[in-house]
Amino acid sequence: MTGGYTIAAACAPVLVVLLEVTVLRTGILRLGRFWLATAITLAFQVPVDGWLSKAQRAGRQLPGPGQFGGAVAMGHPGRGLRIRARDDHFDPDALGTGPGGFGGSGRTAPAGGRPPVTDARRAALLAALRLTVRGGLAGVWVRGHIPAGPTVLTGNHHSWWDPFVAGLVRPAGAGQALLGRRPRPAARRATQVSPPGSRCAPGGRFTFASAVPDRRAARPAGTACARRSA
Amino acid sequence: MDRWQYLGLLGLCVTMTLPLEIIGGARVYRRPKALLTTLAPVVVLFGGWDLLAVRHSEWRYSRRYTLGWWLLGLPVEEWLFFLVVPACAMLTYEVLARRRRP
Repeated sequence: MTGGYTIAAACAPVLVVLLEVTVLRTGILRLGRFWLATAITLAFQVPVDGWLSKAQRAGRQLPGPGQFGGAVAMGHPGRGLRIRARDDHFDPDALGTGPGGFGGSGRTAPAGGRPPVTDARRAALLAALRLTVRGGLAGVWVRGHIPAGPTVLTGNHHSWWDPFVAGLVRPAGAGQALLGRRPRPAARRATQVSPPGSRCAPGGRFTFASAVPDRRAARPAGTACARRSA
Repeated sequence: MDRWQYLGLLGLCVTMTLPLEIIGGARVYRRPKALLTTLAPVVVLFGGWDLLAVRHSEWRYSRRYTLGWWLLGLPVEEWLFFLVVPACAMLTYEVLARRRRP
């Protein structure tokens, strides 16, 4: 129910005015002191509510150790999913870097596999990607070990950052596919892999799955996960 | 101490607006029947909205900042919010209304 709160909040005052005008007819809306009282209440309410509504801490977005073979957590600074290098969820096992910068040091270089593009265009593209992501995201962490070889990324929520992050996490990666939250059967057939298996916990993160060649029909674990996230 | 944050804030709201009743001459707490009649629809409507929103995971309550006492699907603090905050708003309105009446 994305946006449900916004819609309801926008409808509420309209309904109140309608109720007053058509049914109650108390005339309170014509009183200056009503609007003054409303303004005073609002002036207190906004800071108080703002303080009460804690921004979602990034630590919640990170999966627990051992939960995933590997995961990327990402956040957007303006959307309460901020991820920063803070002590309370610093992950010494994490690959990648925080706001300090994106490592281009080959930490994410895959074992084996040759880069698909090796010329200057690739370097320029990666530099642009790095700039874009560093400008827009507070940080990107990779927890765990991204399996060597082809990888499937399945976001359990969508963001237009997905391909950017995917490109940076595996800059010299071998085959890589980015699937939607509910990979369509056609996409699954095309990539010949299953969606990530057992766990699709909510939260802003990707789950990684090793590319499992799916020679059999749809695997039950994968389909169950896709259904549950619907 | 963090667990008392929400409840503490509500307490602060009550304390800070209490002078409006005592000194300012707002007659809100002194008319409990009228107060409850006013609060009832607020609690029902917004409590229901809250329950729906929680069910749809639009927001949730931090275990860190609440005492952990739940009542009918919401933290006790959240129910109290629907009593305290409208009462504060009414005190504000009543004080302003008082001033006009000699």
